[in-house]
Amino acid sequence: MLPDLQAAFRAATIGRDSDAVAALSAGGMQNGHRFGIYRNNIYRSLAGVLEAAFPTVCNLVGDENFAVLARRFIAEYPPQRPQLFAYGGDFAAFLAGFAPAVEELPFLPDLARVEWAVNEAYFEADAETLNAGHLAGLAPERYAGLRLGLHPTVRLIESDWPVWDLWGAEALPSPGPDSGPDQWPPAMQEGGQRVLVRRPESKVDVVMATHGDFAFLSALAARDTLGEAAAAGVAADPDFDLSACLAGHLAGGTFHSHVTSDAG
Amino acid sequence: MAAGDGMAIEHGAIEHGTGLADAFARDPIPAAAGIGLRHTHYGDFLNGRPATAWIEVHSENYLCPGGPRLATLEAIRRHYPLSCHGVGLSLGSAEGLDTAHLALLRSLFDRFEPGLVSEHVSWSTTGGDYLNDLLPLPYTEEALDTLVRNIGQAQDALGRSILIENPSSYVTFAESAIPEWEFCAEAARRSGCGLLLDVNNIHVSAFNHGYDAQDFIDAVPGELVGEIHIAGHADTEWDGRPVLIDDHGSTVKEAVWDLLDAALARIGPKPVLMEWDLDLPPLDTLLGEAARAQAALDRLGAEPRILDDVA
Repeated sequence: MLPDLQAAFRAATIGRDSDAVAALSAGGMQNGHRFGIYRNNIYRSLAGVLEAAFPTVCNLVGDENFAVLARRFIAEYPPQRPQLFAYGGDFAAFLAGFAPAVEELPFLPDLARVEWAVNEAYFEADAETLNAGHLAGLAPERYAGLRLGLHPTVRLIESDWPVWDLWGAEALPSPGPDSGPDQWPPAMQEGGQRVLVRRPESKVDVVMATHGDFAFLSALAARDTLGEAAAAGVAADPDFDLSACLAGHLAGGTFHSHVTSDAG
Repeated sequence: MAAGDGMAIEHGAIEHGTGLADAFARDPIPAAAGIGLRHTHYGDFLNGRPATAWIEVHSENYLCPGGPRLATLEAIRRHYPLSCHGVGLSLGSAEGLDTAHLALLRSLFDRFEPGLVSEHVSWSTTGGDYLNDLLPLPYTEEALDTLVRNIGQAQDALGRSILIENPSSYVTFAESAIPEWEFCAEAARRSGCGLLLDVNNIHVSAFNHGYDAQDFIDAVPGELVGEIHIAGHADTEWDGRPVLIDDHGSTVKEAVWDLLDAALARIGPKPVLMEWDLDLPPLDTLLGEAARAQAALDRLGAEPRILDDVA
C-alpha cells in the first residue's frame, strides 16, 4: 500500500534505516542497490541548504565537521515544509544540545542564532522604514508617548560570547603566542556582544549594539513607549544618549514607518 | 530538482516599491526555447536582456514573504513570459497535499501570473516530513487514484490547470502494473491537467530500467503536452554498476537531443526549457543549449523566431 511504501522510504532515507531498505526490496522494490542515490540526494541537498544559511558556523568547524552536524540535524529535524529558505530555524537549538560541539566551541549556538537572524531578515516581508519626515510636526511633548515599531526584518540577539566579532569569520581566531590552552579561543576573553540584524532594503546589516542601545530596542520590541524605552537604555548604560541613538536608527532603517502614539 | 543555490546577501540595484506587481498579464509561453532562471544569473538579467524567449523558475524559491529574490523576479518578469515549476507539492503523497503550501503557491501565481505552472509525477512528503527529492511512485491503480485526487485538489486551490512531469528514477516496483507513459497520460486525462514531457528523464529512466525511450515517445498523447524539458545528466556508477543520475549539472547529451528531435517530430512545436541546477555555468552556456533547442524547433518548419525581439 502506498502509505506503507512512503513511510518505509522515509525510514530508509532520512532515518538511515538499512533494515527499511531491505524490507522495501523484499516487498518488490527493484534495483534496490541504487536506493542510496535517494538518501544521498536528500542529505546532500539539505546539507547544502544549511551550509548556505550558516556559512560562518561551517567555516569555523570545517567542512567535514559541518557535514557531521548537518547529517545529525537532518535526521533529527527533517524539514516540515517544502520552502527550504525556512529550513534551519532549529539548528541553533540543535547545536546547543549537541555536547561535542558546545564543549569545544561554546559560542556556536549563538553564532548560529545570528546567522539564522540574517537568513530570516533576508526573506522577511518588505516594509517602509521610518524617517525624520514621518515625525515632522509632532509636538515635542508627545515624543515620550510614541510607540515606535521595529522594522519587520529586525532581529535582536544577545550573547555571552563575542558573536559580532565571530560573524563572517573565515576561520577560528588562533591563539596568540602567549596564550595557554586555558585562554582559547582568545576572543572569548572580550566578553559578550549584542547584535542588531535588519534589512531596510535589499542589504542585510549586522550591527553591534551597545548595552544601552540593546536595552532600548528590546523595550521597543516589547511595545514600550519611547519614554519607557529611553529609561531602559539609561538603566542599562548611564551614558546612553537617546538623540544619538535615534539618529543612528533613523538613518539605518531600524524602525517601521508605522508609528502609534499614546493619547496626550 | 530542489533549491540548492546559495544565498547572496546583495544583488546590486533592485527597484523597490514600483507598484507594478499587480500589472502582469498572463503571457502565454511561446513554442520556443527558454531557460531556467537561477540566482547565479540574476546579474545577467538585471544588467541586460539575455536572448531567451521565456524563463522558468522553481516556485519554492519564491514563496518567501519578501526580500531581494522577489524584487529581482519582479524586475526580470517585466521582460519575459514566466513559467513556474514546482518541486515541493508532492502530488503523489498518500496523505494528500499541504494546503498552506498550496495557498502560498496561489499568491505567488496571482502576483507573477505565470503562463504555465507545472509539478512532478512523484512524491516528497510523508508523515509531515519533507524529503527533499522527487521520489518514485509505484505505477498502480492505488497510486493513480492518489495522484489524480491530489492534482484535482491542486488545480482547485490554484484556480488553474497544471502540467505534470514524468520523473527520472533509480528504482522501480514489482507491483507496478502500468507503464510509466500510460500512468502519466492517464493521470492527465482523468484530472484534466497537461503533461510536461522531460526527455532527459525519459532517457535516464529508460537506461536505468532497461526500456526503449522511443516506446515512451511513441505513446505520448501529443495533444496533452504543454512543455518539454531538456537537461544534462551524469553518466556514472553506483555500487559498482552503471547508472544515469539526473543531476541537471551539464550540457545536454547527444542521445537526449535525438529524443528531443523525435518528440518534436511526433507532437509538433512546444515550449522547450533548458534546465541547469548544479554547478551553474556562465549564462552563455545555457543560452547556447537553448539556441540548439530553438534550432530543433525551427527545423520543424515552425515559425522562425528572432530571439532578440523578445524584449
